[in-house]
Amino acid sequence: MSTDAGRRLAGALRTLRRAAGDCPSSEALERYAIGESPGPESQQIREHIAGCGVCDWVVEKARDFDHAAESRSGSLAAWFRRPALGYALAALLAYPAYLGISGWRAGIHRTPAAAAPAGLLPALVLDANPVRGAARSAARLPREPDSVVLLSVVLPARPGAAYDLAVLDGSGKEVASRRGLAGNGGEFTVALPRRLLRAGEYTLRVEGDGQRFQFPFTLSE
Amino acid sequence: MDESLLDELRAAPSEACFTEIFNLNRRAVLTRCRRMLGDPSAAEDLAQETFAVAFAKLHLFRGGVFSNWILQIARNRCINYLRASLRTPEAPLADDTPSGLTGDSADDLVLSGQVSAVLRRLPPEQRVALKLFYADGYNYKEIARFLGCPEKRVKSHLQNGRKHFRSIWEETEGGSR
Repeated sequence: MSTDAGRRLAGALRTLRRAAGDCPSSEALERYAIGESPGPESQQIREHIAGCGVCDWVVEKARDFDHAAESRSGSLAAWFRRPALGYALAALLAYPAYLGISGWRAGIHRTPAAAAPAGLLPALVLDANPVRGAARSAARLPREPDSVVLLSVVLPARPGAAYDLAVLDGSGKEVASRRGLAGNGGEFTVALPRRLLRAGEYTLRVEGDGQRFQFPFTLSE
Repeated sequence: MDESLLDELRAAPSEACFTEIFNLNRRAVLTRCRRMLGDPSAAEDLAQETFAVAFAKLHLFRGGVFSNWILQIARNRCINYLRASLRTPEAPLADDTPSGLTGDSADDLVLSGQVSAVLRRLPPEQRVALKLFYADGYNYKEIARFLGCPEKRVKSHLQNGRKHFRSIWEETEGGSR
C-alpha cells in the first residue's frame, strides 16, 4: 500500500472513530452480540462498531463465546490443584453466611469452621455496605493462606455504567483491583486471595460514573 | 441441571454437591472463556471467578437453565475484562491526513462509509488491529494484549490488513476515486 493510500486509510479510520462517539455499555454490547438488541439500539451499535475497534472485537469475541466448541479442559483434579479455584470453593462455603446477612446489614461474617465440609477452604465475607452506619468494618483474617476474602458492597450504581474497584492498604498502596465491573443492581462482589492481605487498615474504593465511594475496614491476624 | 441439586446447594452446601455442579459446567465455562479471551491464564481466572460469583449470587438465579445463567455471567465478565484491558485513549489522534481528507466534509463521510464497507470484509483480527492502531493510536504491545496474541502477530495483522484492504478497495468503487 502506498504511503498516501495508507494515510488516507488512517484518516478515514479516524473519521469513523470520531463519528462512533462514546462506547455503549457492556450489557448493550452483549445484547447486540447475541441478537437481542431492540432495533434502534442495534442500529446505533452497528454504527458505533464501524469506527470502534474495541467494541468491534468485544462483539466478535462475545459471539465466539457462544459458538466455542467444547474441548477437554483437563481433569477435575488438575483444576482443583490451581490455587485460584479456592475462589469458587470459598464462595460456596461463604454462601450460607452470605445468605445469612440480614439485608446486607450484618457486617463481617466468618464461615464457621465446624460447618466446613472436609477439603473445602474457609472464607471471610466482608460486607462493606455504606448504609449500615458503622464507622469501620473489622474482621479477623482466615489462617489458611489459600483461603479467600469476599468483599461485597451495595452502591447506588447506575445500570450500564462501569466501575473500578480497588483495595488500598494503610499507606494508600493498591493491593488488588478489578476494573470495568458492572454493578448488578448496585451489588459488587469480589474475591481476593488471602495471601494478598495482611493485618492492618484498608480501604475499599469504588469509582465510576463520575462518583467515588470509599469504605475503610480493618483486618487482624 | 437437576433443580434438586440447586435446592440442595442452597440449603446445605456440600463438597459433593458443589463438585457435581462444577463438573457439569466447568468445561463449558472454561472453553468459552478461553475462546473469548485468547489468554489461557486469564481464561482460567475468569472461569473460576465466574463460579465464585455464581455461587455467591445463587439467590439471584430465578430458575430456567442453570448452565445458561452461569455462561451469561462468564460472558459478561469476559466482556468487562476485555474492555478494561485497554487504557482509554488520552485524546483523539491529530488528523494529519493529506489529500484534503479532513474527516468533516460530505466527501470524507462518503469515503468513510466506503472504507467502512471494505473493512467489514476483512478478517476481524485485521480489521480490529487497523482500527486500534490508526484510529486510537494503540501500540503493538497494547493491541497484542487486547487481542490475546503475540506482538509479531499484530504486525502481521496490520500488514496483511493493509494489503487486504487495498486489494478489496481497488476491486470496488472506492478504488476508482
